[in-house]
Amino acid sequence: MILTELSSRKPAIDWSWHLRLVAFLGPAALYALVFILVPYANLLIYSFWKTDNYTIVRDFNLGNFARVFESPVYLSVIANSLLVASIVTICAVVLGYALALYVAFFTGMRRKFLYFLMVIPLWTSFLLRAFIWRLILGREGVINSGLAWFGFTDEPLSVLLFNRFSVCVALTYVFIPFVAIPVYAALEKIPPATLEASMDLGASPFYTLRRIILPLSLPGIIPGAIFTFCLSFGDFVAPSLLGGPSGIMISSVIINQFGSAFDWPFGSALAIFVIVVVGIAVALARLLERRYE
Amino acid sequence: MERREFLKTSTLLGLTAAVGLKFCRPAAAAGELRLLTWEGYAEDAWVKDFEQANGVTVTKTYVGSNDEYMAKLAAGGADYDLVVIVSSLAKRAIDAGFVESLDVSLIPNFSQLYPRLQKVGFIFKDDQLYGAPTFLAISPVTVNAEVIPEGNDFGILFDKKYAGKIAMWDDVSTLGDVANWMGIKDVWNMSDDNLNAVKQKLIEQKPMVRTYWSQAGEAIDLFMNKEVVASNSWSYITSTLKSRGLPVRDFVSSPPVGAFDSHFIVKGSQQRELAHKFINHILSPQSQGEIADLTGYTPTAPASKDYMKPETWTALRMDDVGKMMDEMKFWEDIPRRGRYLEVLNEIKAA
Repeated sequence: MILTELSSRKPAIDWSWHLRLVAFLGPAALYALVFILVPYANLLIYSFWKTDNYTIVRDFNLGNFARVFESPVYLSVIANSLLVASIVTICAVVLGYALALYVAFFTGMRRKFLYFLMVIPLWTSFLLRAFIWRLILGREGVINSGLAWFGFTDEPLSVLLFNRFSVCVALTYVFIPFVAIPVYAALEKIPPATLEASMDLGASPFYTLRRIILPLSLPGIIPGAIFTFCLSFGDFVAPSLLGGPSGIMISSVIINQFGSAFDWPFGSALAIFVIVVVGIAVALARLLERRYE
Repeated sequence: MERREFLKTSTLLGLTAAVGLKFCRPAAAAGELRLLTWEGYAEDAWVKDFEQANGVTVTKTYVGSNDEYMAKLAAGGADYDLVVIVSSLAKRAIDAGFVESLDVSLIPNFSQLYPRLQKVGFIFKDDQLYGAPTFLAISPVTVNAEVIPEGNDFGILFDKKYAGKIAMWDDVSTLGDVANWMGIKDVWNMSDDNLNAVKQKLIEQKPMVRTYWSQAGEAIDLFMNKEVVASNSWSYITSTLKSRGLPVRDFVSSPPVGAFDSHFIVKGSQQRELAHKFINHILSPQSQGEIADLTGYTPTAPASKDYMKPETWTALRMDDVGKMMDEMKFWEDIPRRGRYLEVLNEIKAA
């Protein structure tokens, strides 16, 4: 008697509700699962395992993380990546901001066309754009040929290429649109009346920039800077093509582990470590953003 | 949506996708031999003969690096019957159980190979042959002949005269090249002291190094653009530079260091007999001669001389190869591969 009572009290399953759930949230859930949850979980799990001649041994250990600190090489390579990423972020933000400011406020009718030009570089392959700098900065490159032609130099300058400088130049060039585009979008949203009011009240153009334009374009600067920082930190194309003997960055080391070392667990541990470092950097940026809001 | 609901839904969808993928793996067709190899090792010129003679089709998958086929085999090599593996990874592939032993009686042409290649230890396990050496690759030093017209010493790469114009290959084998030049015997299994000595030598060299390269195309580009005048290298790089009109020459250090690529049968292949036939076909002096003519790869069967153009024989310096064969230091398994790579990174980060 009690049993029948219990079963009759059980609520009926509302299948239409489940169906709607799958239909509306299924694709998003699938995306999150396949492209975010599974890969990161996989990476994390692998980082606790080890290898034995091309076999992954599922033996929980923290040795991979200890190894990151044992040899000075990994921390110094991460430090170099942080340095490069910081230089690139600062340069790209300054130049990208100036570019967006110019296009948004000083170009009148040509604005749409210039914006279009800003986007064009994104259509070509990243590899190609990094490689081009070899042709520009090389011993027989455009700059050296120009200097020699004008008689400024007798010998081609070799300091232009294969060092940190050339890596930073190429990455800054590549990431300027990543800053300029969101900043431009933010600048476009500033009502002209705000600027006019500021000028009417006697503020100098510089004061208006500092107190009105800059704070209002912060929602464009922060994502642009974060993109630039994360992507340049993890880049491996520019350092391997342009970095020369000392330009090694952390991604090259990680790729090594997944390639010729066949040490996926250690590669995963390095990757997790990098995610944490970048995560902290991004969290700091967010904190900064909140302070200025 | 509640978190639990979300997780339930996503797990369900994920499982469906995983099951779907499981059934999508390519299957072998009867009369099909599936090769995992380098471009150039399976050109139509000699594969077509084999297909016609045996009434089968050969499907080729090309790799871009040694790591690539090892990763493919590690992930389960059931998609291939034959794989080409470099000498330094042969032992690992055998020990990991990626490949099966060969039946020498089905490969009569095996006896045509240089005697040393027929008995080199690391293609055997428990006296069973696993790999059939097919192509040699001796590591030369390539130099710009205009700048460095003379001298055949590996030490050129450490000569201050060429500071800023030296390149090095970004690979563990470079450690072996340098160790060999420094007179270290066991270059692939160095003690910590020896490894440190090599590391110091390469750190000293660093200020003179323009850059390290990882792809042949990069090295070619560096020579063509006059960025560098000397690098440890591949014969392919020298010949490509020559064909582009750059005055380059190359030389081999003494004792020479080199690798060879061998054909192996992938574990679980359903085409064992056909695979043996293919190996026998590619080891035949005739195929080897044709391959040398067409691709410039160094053959492993000396009798191929009768089947290639005399100029190919000369260009490949086959007479020297024959003489050097017994003292050659082949790329072997590096037991502490991880440590070697770490040293390479330490040099770059120093």
